[in-house]
Amino acid sequence: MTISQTAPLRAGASFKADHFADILEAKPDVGFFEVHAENYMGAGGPPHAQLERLRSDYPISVHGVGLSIGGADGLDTDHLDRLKRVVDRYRPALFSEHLAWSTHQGAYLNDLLAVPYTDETLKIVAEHVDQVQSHVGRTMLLENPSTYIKFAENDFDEVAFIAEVQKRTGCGLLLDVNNVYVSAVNHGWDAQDYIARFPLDHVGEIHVAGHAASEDADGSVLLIDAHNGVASDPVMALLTQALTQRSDIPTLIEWDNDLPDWPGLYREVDKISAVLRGTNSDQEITDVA
Amino acid sequence: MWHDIQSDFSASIADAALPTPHGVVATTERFNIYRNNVAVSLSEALGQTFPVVKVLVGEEFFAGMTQVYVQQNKPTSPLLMEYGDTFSDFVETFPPAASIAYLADVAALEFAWLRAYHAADADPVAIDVLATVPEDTLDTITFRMHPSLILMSSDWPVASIWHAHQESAAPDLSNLTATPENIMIVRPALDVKTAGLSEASYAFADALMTGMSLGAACEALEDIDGFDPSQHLTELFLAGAITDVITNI
Repeated sequence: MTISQTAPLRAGASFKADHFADILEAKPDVGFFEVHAENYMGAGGPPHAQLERLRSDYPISVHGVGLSIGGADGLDTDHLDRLKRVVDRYRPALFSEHLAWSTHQGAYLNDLLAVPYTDETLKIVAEHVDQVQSHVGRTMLLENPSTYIKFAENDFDEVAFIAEVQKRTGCGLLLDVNNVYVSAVNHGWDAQDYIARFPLDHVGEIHVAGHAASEDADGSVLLIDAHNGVASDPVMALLTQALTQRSDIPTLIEWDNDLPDWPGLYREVDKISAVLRGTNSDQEITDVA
Repeated sequence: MWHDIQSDFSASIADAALPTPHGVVATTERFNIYRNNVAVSLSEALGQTFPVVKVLVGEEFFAGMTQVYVQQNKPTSPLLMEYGDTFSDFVETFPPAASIAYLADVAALEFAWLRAYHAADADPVAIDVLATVPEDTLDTITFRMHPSLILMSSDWPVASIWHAHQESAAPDLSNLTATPENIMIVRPALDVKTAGLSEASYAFADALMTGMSLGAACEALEDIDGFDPSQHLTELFLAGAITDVITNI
């Protein structure tokens, strides 16, 4: 396995500036904090001062949200340079980006948009992942998306596509079990089968998050990847399933909207820790950071 | 080809009147999730950058105004801290906002504040540094200004308006007089500071920022009412706006 060896096999949380003072004071027992790379691409100022401070106490995961790896146009090399600067400066335990696109012909759409799974896009995505890894100089984790639409033409299902990208590039994977559940409900997939077939040997991190519900034209449920609340029971069940198959994976509670106070987020870290302890009951969990 | 599907996809996101893009199988409800995510997240990003503008016009008006802006101005990079650089110009020419004459300048001040917040770090020097300059070379010195320093002048009391909104969520602006203000924005350490400058002090700071020597600035500005270089220099040093003094012999 080529993924980072320094991430603790423990529960982590999204880092939000609103929680900074509470975290400094409480020094909570959290395995790692994850930040969005783009928030640390300014030249200086309080964001960097905070992250430097946080990094002195906790391992950091850098999660890019703006690279548009699934886009047909070439990667934005300025953005790639910025990403490298963030990774070089903070030397994170984990480094990830999305199987999605967000930029087309110079316009940034600020969402993680769906990619069809064809021979053409496989080539594009694999080239882009290669480019990221050689430019940034380390292995990246590629995250499975949540999607709301299908494409008319596909040559692969999602798991087969991701497995093939992994095989071609040697990248690691980030398994977002909330995304699996959201897409499974939206497209009528079998989420448990998805996890069972996912190449877990290459997973370097798991994401858990909350989703919101909406309605399709026929009144059926559409789930939206909202990151705005606690993980639902089916999502926690998928986490347990994945960790039962392979127990040594750092797992993050991702929360971006309608933020709780720090104790509220820490409760969710605790829930994930309990799942990790349960699936690791036969072995010692050590913080290797 | 994927590139062409993406072009259709992008166009359909921007224009809800367009059908679901070619190559995509989805109900309008499904595709609308993307339309909504893009429109709402960009409008919210502008709300974070321009909180005082949002309070001044109200949430509903702000949502409508940013919707038009987002429609016409997609971000050109994934750095949302850079999004909204043309928002002040847009507000200036947005007819429904014309009744709040100072709105565009408040937007400009908020964007300047954000630029100062994210600007490169640098340590200011104290005024004592001048004691190390031989007196006969004092006229030749130039100043390295802090990378976060921004000067702004407005026909309206925008700094007072902005400050009133830092003190209170719904400040009483009825006592404000319609006087012009010159503003200095700088972040010497972690906190962004905004301060009002007199006409003379503003002109002096502006001259030093353009690289004029102390002697040249004094000569050019001596006729301005209230021009007092030692007082203006003290003001700039105390604000942390100067990071180095360069002797040019």
